[in-house]
Amino acid sequence: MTTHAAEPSAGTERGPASSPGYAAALSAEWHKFWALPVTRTVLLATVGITVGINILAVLFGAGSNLAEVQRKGEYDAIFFGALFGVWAFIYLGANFVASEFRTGMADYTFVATPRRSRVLISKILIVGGLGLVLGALISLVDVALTQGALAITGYPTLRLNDPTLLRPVLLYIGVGMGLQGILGGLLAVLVRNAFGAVALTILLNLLPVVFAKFFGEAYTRTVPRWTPGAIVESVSGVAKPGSDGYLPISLAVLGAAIWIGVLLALALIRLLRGDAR
Amino acid sequence: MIEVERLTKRFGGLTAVNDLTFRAEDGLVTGFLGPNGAGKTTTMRMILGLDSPSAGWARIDGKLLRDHSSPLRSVGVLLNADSAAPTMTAWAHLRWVARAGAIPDARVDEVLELVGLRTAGQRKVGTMSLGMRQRLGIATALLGDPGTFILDEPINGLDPDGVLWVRTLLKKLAAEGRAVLVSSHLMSEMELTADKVVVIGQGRLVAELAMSDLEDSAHRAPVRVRVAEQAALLDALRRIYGDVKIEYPEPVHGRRSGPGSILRIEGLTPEEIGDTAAATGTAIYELTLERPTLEDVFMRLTHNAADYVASDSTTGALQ
Repeated sequence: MTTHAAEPSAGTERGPASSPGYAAALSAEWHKFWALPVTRTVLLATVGITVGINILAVLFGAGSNLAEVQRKGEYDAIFFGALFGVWAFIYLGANFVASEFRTGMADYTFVATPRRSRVLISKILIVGGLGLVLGALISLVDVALTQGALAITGYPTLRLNDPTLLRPVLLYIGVGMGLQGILGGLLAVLVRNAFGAVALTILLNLLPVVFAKFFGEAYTRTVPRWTPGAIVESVSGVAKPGSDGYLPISLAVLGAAIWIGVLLALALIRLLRGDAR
Repeated sequence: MIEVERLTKRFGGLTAVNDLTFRAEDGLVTGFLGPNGAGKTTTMRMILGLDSPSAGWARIDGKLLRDHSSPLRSVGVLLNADSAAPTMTAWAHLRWVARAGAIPDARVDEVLELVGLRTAGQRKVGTMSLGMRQRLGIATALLGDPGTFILDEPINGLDPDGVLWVRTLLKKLAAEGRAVLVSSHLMSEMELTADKVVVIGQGRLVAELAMSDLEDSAHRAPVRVRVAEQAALLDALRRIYGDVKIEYPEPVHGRRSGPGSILRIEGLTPEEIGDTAAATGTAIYELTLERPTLEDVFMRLTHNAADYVASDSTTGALQ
């Protein structure tokens, strides 16, 4: 349904030309992100999966089962559901990039912001930032759910004022969502497909660990700890010093920066040198 | 002004655009014509920096688009009505584009009003008709009130009212001093809208033609005449103008000559023929200047440059 078009005109007089820079690109990508219904759907799914699984665990395993899980692994009860949410969030990051090419929206994006690096950096800032915040919030809800259930049924609970717990709660799922979401988005630039990017992200995490069975102890003690998932465990304090997956925090942060840096460089080469199709 | 200089684009072994050079000046509507697959869209994408040229360059107001401080205020673009995300509302689509250009949100409502989509702002793009999506694309192009417009087939899917509106809009934009490059398959529409046309075929420039050249060529066009007494008129014409070139283009009632038959006379104006007929007392039933249309010119120029041509048969091999 169209109403009658106004008298043909370009409209108002040309306004003062302000030069849109990174802030304009970030603002555009932020509004685009929330204007895509799939964003809300996947975010709801992410929260639903992460919190929902813990609700089910509380309902069906209230008390003894939950306490047993927490006894075996300090954070297992809290983070069990949230790990599924990380994978959903990787799809969100990958789709935010891939939808540009799938829908043809890239035409408008790269005419409005011809400096394509600004668009990509805006996207990874949004995905990374949102992952950090959303992950921390989900973790806090999961702590409240699981520890509340344990407290009600008289089992020992973890306390947030314990610094060794606070760091994993605030960082583990948040850094996981942020880092893996960014990697998914950068891989989507390379493959131009959200599901392909998610699959590649999963392979980056799993393959080095799977190969450990075949490549011997030296490999096992060096390579797998540099996978994105292991880096997240080290940054958030979940990995215990001396374990195969452990890296000191400075090296873990460096590892995360290397992963982002390498994939960002590859994505920029693909994005800047190739056609926007 | 849009400048395209020796622009070339190769996709593997296929050369889509080949050494193409032309200008689309400020204050003019430049029609960009060519058969399907001629390279029009690829050329437009290279002008906008969306595709990288294999050779040559394209500039808008002397600069690559990425070097403009405010790209959306420099160029308005409609490449494909389907480039807006189908799950977004029209308003949300325009708002994110406006944000990218540091353009106030109020301008979004303004351009929706301008293109006649005021009441459809909250509709999802995917639920809109092709005509509505074209209008949304034009609204997007108008957002930054730019000095240059690049529009690929903007009247596809529009109703007659919409076609007239776009024609008037393009002429007005050019009259305001802006450069308008517009591609279309509708020759009759281009003839009414464009000030000049750039014709390409198989990626190469075939012709760059001002519409005034087309008007000039009409003065040398043949005149179609249907008369009662053909012999009397021809005698008089030859007596006055000497050797006159005459064709008998089609038989009437099975005859190529005689009363009521049709002649095509070259080298004389309708006035000269009409006055001569009046002087000899010959009745004229039809006197038409066979002005070449843009379509005639286009077909002649691109005859050997079309990649995809249907056979003459309407039924093919079906028996």
